[in-house]
Amino acid sequence: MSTARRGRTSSRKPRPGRVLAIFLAVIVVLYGVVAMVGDWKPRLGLDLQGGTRIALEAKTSSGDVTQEKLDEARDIIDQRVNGSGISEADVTTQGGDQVVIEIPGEKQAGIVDEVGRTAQLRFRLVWATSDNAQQQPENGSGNGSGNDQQLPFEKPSDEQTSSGSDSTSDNGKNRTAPTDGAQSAGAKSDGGDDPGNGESDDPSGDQSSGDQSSGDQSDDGGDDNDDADDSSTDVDWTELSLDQMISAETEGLDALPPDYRPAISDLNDQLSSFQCNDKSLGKVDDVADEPLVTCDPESGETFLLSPSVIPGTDVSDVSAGVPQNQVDWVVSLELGGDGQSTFDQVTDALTDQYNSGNSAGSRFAIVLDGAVLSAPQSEAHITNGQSQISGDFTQDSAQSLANSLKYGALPLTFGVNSVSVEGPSLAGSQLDAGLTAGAVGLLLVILYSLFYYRGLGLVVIASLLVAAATTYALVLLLAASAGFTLTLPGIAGLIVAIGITADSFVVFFERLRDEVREGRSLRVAVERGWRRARMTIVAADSVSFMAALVLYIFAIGVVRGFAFALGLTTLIDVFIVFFFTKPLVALLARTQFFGQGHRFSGLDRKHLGIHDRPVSQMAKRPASASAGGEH
Amino acid sequence: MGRISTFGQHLYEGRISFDFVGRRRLWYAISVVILLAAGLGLLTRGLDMGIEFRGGVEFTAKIAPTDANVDAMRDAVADSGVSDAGDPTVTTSGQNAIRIDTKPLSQDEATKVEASLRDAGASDISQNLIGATWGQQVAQKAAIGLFVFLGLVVIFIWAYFREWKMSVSAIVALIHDLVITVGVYAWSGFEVTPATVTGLLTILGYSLYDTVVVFDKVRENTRGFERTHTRTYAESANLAVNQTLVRSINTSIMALLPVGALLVVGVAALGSGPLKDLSLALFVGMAAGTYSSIFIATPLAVQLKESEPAVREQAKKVERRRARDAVSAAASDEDAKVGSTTAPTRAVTTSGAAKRAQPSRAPRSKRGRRPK
Repeated sequence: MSTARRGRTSSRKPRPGRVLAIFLAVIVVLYGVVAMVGDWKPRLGLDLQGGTRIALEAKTSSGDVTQEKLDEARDIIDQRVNGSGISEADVTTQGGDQVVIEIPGEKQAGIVDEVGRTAQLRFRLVWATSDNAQQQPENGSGNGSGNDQQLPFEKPSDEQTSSGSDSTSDNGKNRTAPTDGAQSAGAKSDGGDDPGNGESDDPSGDQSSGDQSSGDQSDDGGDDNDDADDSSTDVDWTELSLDQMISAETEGLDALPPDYRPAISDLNDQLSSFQCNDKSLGKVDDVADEPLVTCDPESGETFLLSPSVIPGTDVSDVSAGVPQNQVDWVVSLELGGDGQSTFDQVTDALTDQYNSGNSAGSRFAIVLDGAVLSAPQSEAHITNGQSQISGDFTQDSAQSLANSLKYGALPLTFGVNSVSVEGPSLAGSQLDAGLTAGAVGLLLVILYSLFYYRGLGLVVIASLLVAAATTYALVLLLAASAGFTLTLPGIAGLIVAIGITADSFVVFFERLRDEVREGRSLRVAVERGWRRARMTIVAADSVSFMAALVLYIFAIGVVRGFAFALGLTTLIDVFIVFFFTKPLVALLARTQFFGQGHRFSGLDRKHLGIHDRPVSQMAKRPASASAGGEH
Repeated sequence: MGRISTFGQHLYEGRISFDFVGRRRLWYAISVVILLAAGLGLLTRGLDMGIEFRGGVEFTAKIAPTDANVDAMRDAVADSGVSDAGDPTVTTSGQNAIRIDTKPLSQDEATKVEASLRDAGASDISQNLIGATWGQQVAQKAAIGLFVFLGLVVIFIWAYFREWKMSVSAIVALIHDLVITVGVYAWSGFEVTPATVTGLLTILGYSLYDTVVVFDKVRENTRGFERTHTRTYAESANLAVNQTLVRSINTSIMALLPVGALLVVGVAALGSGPLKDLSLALFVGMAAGTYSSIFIATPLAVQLKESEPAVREQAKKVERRRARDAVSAAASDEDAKVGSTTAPTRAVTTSGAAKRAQPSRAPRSKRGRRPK
């Protein structure tokens, strides 16, 4: 006691017992939190439980991949995956340009095509609608008021007008208007063509102009909609000019050139049989240059849509908000590039229809990934590309539409980087192997430290076990709070860390022994040795942590788990050695067994090979005197 | 066991001393030979890049890895009707699995091949489809990570030791370890996978960790060296390496034991995969890391340091003092041998060494007493 006091001022007097008690209390609290959070088993990575892991790499058409864009992409892919009925899919971003989808359990390789697609936002014209969400597919065209615009070509198109009001109430959920909010419903009424008179053959002579949809070719090979494929191969929809497409909307589908009629007829059949559910929507093949039969999954309304007239990449800005002096939520949309002039042309023609009462003929649709997001009526001729979509929006629905429109405008495309499908039994044997390796590794280190450090080896063991307990608790907590999953490389990281953790003890113990070698009593040696060891430990662990951090930031794929585990255990190591190992050794130094250098303590003079008279006061310590006399 | 400790005591006192610093030319030569061999392996044999770097599909089928089954799997791939999948690499993997590597396939094709394998009797098939650019990315990121880390290391060591010469030495030792590990991969023909790359990057941390611990002791022993006349800078540094030798050995053993367990279990139970790749790289790298901090980093740091006038000045002082002592003591004719290069061994192995060591330890004890 006296020596210890001499060495230190009273204020800095170490209280190992207290530190130890606090540390153990912290661990108890840690486990208390784990008990409250609830899960005692770590979340296993796909390589350990089986499942599908898809890594997508962002490829930019313009500019760099920013984290913001990547996060947006992550969100939409998340929607896609979870929208396709897969539960528990985990979608994360990684390494600055990766989106990783992890789907535990059953094989889900089929999902690859689904998620790898670019977010395809397109503006299309509404050629026909059929509100058959609640109907049997057989019901077809002849039946019901809902089939407002689903007309055989022979029928006179004035029926469109008659059913127009019908569709407005049923389906015209959204409308567009210029951003200034001025409702120009009346303003254009004079110029309205009579939608009823069938100038059906007029636009056919119009050769396709540069206005043709600039939508990029979509090259994804998703599941094809058989009928659509057959019919669309017959005619070349890319030949259609924007004018033709518009007239097909404003004047009826028979305004299209005669060549297209069989295809249109097929599409009409499809429209009537289209059921609006996740399954059928999942099969929709959204090809820019072809017409599309699809639906709005929210309203259940089905549509026959023209080929894309404006690609989503032309959307330059989207926001949701309540305009001044208004009460309803609107989504403001700004188009740039070619989209602006196309929109000018489209709204010009469609607004005429609206003003003349043909509300069904004045709609266009915004389609994302084959599903209709919104099919507003064009209520104003918009020349500057700035428009608003209004309707029965709540804040949520407006925000959600705005987000979807933004995602569609996202210039990120993805390439499939890797897909791994891990079978459950192989995954199980990987887990077993990892755990076995860990157990064997721990055992070997324990044996070695007992062999070499004898009594102090017990301290190593206790410290390693406490470190293991702390690590386990943190892994559980991180799983619950940050979604940390334990992968095979992660387990490897934890195992490798055993050695690195043990090294701190080695550094401390060797310093301690150095002090004992210089003839100091153990109690003094502990403090002095510790003071000299701790800087080394902190410096060395900082380096380890730095390495783990760099590895984590720059690693791709599951090896991140390794880096994370390594970094985590390095931090834990520092805490253990400061707040557990050192106080424990300080406490033990007070015991007779260690303090007086018992034969098995690992600190006896003979074991240390001290044969000479020690440098300082042997007389003070009878035990060491006898030990010294043994040789 | 006791003997190792006794050994430690002797090392600590300087009674046994390995001349790590003085014989640096020998260690450099050994390392140069090893590095040349590694380079030669890299040039002539190259690295066997794993499927992650080539792109392709790797199937792991759970089926007894007999010759007949291997052939059956090969035939199954041929029968799958996917032309790109022809000529797959079929190897056994562990005790109960067969690994089949094909060229890059589309998801549909991979599914077809998988179905064909299933028909041929394989169960629980894992599929790993890797795009051709995946490996490039891994390599690219690893390279960036490497440079970022090296930059940080230089800064860190400089900040901690206040000595750019130590930074340089540590970096040289790091690169030394990396090259050796890569060389081992080249010669052994083990596959290089992203897990291997991770292992390599981890070695950086480990190698440096080891170097920091040794340098720490070097710094402690050489603090205030200008004022001592008993040991040259090089001798003090050498004593530091000797004093941390037991620690280095223990640390290496304790670090290598778990990694070895990982390697053995990984190979025995799984045959191949991230466990093996990671632990193999770590095993080689850690061993090299321990070697290099003792034999390369410290001698190099000393060598760089010896170019400083102060260090040379002090070395001369020590020499002069020794010569004077020798003359006055007229002890023996051995004095003639006290040359500048052979001095360290002689000096610390003489019986007076333990006593002479006292002055250099004095600053430490002074530090210890300071709080009083």
